[in-house]
Amino acid sequence: MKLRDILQWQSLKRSKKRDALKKVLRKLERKHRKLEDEIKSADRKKTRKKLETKLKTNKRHRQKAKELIAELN
Amino acid sequence: MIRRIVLPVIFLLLVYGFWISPDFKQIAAGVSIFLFGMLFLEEGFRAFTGGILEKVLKNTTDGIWKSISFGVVTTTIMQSSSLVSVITISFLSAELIALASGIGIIFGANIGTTTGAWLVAGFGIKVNIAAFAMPMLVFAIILVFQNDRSLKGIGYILAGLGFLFLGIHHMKVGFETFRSTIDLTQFAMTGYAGLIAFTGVGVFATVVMQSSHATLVLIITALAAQQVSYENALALAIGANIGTTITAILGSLSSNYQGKRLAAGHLIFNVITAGIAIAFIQQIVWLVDEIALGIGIRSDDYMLKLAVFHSIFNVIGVVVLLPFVNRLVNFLEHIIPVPKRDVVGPKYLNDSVIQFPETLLEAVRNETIHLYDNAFEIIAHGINLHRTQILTADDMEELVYSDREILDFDLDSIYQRRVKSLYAKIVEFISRAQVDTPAEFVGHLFAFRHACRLIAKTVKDIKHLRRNTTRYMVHENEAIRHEYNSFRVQLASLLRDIHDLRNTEEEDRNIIDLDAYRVAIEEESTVTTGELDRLIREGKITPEMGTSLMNDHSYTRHAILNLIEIAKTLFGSRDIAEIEAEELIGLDDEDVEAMSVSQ
Repeated sequence: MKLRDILQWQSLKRSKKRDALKKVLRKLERKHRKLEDEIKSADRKKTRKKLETKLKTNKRHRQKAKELIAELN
Repeated sequence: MIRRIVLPVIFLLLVYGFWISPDFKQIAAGVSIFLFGMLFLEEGFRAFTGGILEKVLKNTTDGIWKSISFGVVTTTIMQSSSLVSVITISFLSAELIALASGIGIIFGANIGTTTGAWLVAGFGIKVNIAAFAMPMLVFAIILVFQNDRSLKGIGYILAGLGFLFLGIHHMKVGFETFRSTIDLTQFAMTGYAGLIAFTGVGVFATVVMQSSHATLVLIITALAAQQVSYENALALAIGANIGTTITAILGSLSSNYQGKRLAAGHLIFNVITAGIAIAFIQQIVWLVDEIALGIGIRSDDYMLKLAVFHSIFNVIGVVVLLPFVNRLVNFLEHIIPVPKRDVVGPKYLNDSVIQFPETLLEAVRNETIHLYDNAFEIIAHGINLHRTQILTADDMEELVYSDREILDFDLDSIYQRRVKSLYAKIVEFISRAQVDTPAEFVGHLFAFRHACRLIAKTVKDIKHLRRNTTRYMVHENEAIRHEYNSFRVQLASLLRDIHDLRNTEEEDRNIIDLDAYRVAIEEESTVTTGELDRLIREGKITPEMGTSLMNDHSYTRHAILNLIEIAKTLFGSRDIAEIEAEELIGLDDEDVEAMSVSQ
């Protein structure tokens, strides 16, 4: 994160930060469900592998989002 | 040549006028103060164009009636159809509104501007408005010195109104005393000859003053002092309507083809309206008398009747031309076509957007997307795929592995024509625009400039990657063929995902999903997993192939990281809090490393 971004984030109100994080988390959870469905229906091994990478990334994103929300609570 | 002569001639005529008549001096000063007030008023409203006005314009111009209403309301409030025209041109140039909506706003502005005549005729002439002007100017100047942008804006608006009032007062006094020395009505002309001649005078006066509002006030004050006949005043008002289009035409000179179309539409509309007014002058005058009678205007109150006339003939113009808006749009698109260029130039950047920060950002964003779209084509062709192949829903692995077509094109030449020239124009434009842009918008401008830089860098990465990709994607060695096709799959998949995200509703769009490609490029490459050594050791690829692979993995990796960054800037959230939240949640280098190790 650049210094400008950090300063901008710090200048935001706590509630605004939390709302923004929750919004992103909701999107991530929707994506998570979608990816799981896609993996179930994927018929090629390589396609499944790509989807699993996306799922793994999504999982890490959700984990970070939850940690940040917890910090703000 | 003519330009060089005109200014000195005007100066000499004015000096001569001042010398022979102090009353003329007072009238000219009145007009000047009035125009000065208009400038202040426009400056004041510009202070509010950093958001509110643009947001309202965006949300209220999606239908022709809404556009007309917007034109009427804003011009009534701002008392400047010129400012509304210029803002509309800037919006149209940035393709934030359609040409039909722009024409709707201009129709509305033509009706809205007639409220000025009502205000001056009903209030300005009959009340001693100079008494209001003085305190307004005092309050105004205090506000102008404030640091707050909004207060400053209100100060300018107040000063503008103060000067308008003062200008009207001086014109009124000038004409009243002028009457005692010379009777201008001796130059009055009757019949159609008078109508045509005075329409011409109205056009000329408005072109010189660059404001139909000022011309109209001049006509009303002259009418109040009985220095011009009612019949000739009507013709002058018709002329002022044609003359005002000159401001829009001048404003469109620095805009793109869309702005020029709107200015041409404005001219056509006002000339046709004037034609109708001239052709049916007797009927319109009769209608004005009837309406004046109906709303209780005295039969000898020619100033208010002039205001009624001004409103009526503009409304008639709108009513007559409204059913032909689509035909007018088609006609304008036909006479001013989209310019075709071999070297790609900017589509959205023009000086008319610089003064409106939100429009400016939209224009720069659209232009950067334009640059990205041009680069997309080069990147796709660079990895020997057609854009249409990337944008289908077909399985990417299958598509890439089965496709062995080598696309023959000169990447350097296309880069020069479609990316470099446009990139240079965007950089040049941002450098100029940032000078007058409020600080809170400059950061966004720099983010777009950075995205442009990354786009250019990505194309260069692809240029380097292309040579070996073209060579190895059809190579008989299966291992090397697989590695290069893997690069192609990753790049093409990322381009497809960016395209899909771009077309997803903002509510569902999560740009950080693209982080998966950062993980994939580390996970799936033999270069980063140590597989490369095994392939060389076992003789499955030559050491030369291995070094090429290492270099090209680096180009692919850079291209992927750049594309993700570009997508975040261009298609990511526009909400500051959400952007920052995404930044925090997004994967950093440590995350990527940990995730690719833990596979």
